Amino acid sequence: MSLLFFVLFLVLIFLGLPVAFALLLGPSIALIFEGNQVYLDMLTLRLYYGIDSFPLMAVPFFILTGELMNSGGITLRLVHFSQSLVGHFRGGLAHVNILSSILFSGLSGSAVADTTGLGSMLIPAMEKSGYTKRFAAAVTAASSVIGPIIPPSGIMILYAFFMNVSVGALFAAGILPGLLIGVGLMLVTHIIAKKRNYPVDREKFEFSYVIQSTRKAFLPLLTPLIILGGILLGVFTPTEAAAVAAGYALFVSMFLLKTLDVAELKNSLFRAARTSGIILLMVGAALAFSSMITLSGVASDFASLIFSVSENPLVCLFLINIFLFCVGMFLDAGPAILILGPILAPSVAQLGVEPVHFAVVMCVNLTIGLATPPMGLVLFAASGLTGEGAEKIAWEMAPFLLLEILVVFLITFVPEISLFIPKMMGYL
Amino acid sequence: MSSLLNQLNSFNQAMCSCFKSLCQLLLLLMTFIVLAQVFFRYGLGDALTWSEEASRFLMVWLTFLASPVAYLEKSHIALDLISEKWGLRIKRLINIVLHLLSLILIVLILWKSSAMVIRGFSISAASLPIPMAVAYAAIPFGFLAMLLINLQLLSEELFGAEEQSEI
Repeated sequence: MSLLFFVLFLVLIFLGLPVAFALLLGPSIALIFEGNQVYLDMLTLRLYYGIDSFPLMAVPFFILTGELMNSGGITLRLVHFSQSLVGHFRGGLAHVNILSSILFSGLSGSAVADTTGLGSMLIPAMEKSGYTKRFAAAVTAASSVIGPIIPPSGIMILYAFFMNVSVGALFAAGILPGLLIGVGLMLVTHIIAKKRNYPVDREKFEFSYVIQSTRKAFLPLLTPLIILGGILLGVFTPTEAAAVAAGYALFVSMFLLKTLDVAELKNSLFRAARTSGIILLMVGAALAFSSMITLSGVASDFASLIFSVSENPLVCLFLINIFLFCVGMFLDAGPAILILGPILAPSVAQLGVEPVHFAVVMCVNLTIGLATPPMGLVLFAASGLTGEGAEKIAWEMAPFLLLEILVVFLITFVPEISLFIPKMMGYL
Repeated sequence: MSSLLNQLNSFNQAMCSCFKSLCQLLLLLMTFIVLAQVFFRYGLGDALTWSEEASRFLMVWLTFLASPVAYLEKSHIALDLISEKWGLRIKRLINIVLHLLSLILIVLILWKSSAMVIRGFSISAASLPIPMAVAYAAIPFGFLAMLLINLQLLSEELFGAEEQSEI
């Protein structure tokens, strides 16, 4: 089997065909061309069984959880909670933005939800306090990438499903890298805020306000504990945990906090269903595509290409990171994982790199790509919210991006940052 | 010709708003089934046998009902590298090529997956008393809807071109 399918696929996506279609059409044309009827029949079967999977169902449930939690009131409660903790720092609202992203990432598994939910609330508030629109958008976009790194995470479920890694182990492995990015972003913000003399949000730290806002944010903040606790203690499968989280979000937002009405519930359900449909179709198509990757031996070709450059794992990981970063500039994290995972993961495993470690490196690296030009969903979302051009926001974001790239290399070369918690939980 | 196109457009609109409601229902149903699964296992100590398969089938249908809606809204993930700076005519030409390529794929999948459904009538599901064809059928159903939408998008692109040149 030749590499024709792969070349066709690349041509099709660069022309602008939806990725899900290109994943199916590339192999189809190649198979018709090569007269391979048997595999052509197999393609639709793979498409079906790529979607008909219980572990994969965690994706729609986590998306739904994020949508339900994102609607209005709950985001506001998280923001107030963050304000009570970090609002008194110089550049207070920027810190609040970052801390809220960290907190929100425990409720949702996607970065774009983070940008739109928090951004629509915090960017106008930051503008009012004297920050430039551009800086507000940059902080929002840069901190949103924490969303899919701290569990729950949509892309990590996809990675785990595709590459046979434990979801629990991956979730546990994402916690410290996500926090590291959060703390790093706050340090960068601290320096910028000092230099530009950004205002504080609250005059001083008040313990009574902390208690008051904690009480209001307590129920939503319980969600990550239910999800992680349930999975890591083995009470639920990840899919069940996701359904419980969605059910909990529904119950809390509709009946306890009353931040959600029936109309908004319908909207949330539809938005979650649409996003899920888009992702799941792509997953099915990618599974069909990946069987072609296996059959054609692209993965081993790629491995030998890497090994021809160097057999030192550190050098290879460095090069792979650069490669992934370039890919991430153009492609979303989800499709990039679905397409490149089956090619990269086996090669890297041959180098003796722990699969969970590489999974985290790949997910973090590609997630940061969501905030980089020319193609970045998070960047576009921030640009859409503020009306500032994506390039201008990207320039303003440069110090944050540099920090994030630094963290990628740090977690690449210090595996313990990712592996410490999974080891402690007994996954490795 | 244009009245036929209008009819196609309004049919697609109606179809998609129907799919939208179905998607909302299916997602809610999936959530409750999996919650029931957890509840029966821990609350009643009696695990459900059918819940996993039922929720999986619902998810398959959800995917192929949501995909046409996303297709009509043009929200499937795609690279957008060919900008309009290259000229509207080139952009439009490429769009037409893309719609034609999509048409080829849709017809191919429609054909292959219909054959799969026919074979699926003689395969029974693992825990539910239905043949696999019920679940397989989501693929041709969704792709049939996408065929109609593709024809709409394609003709809009072709039609729009004519209007453009008249001006």
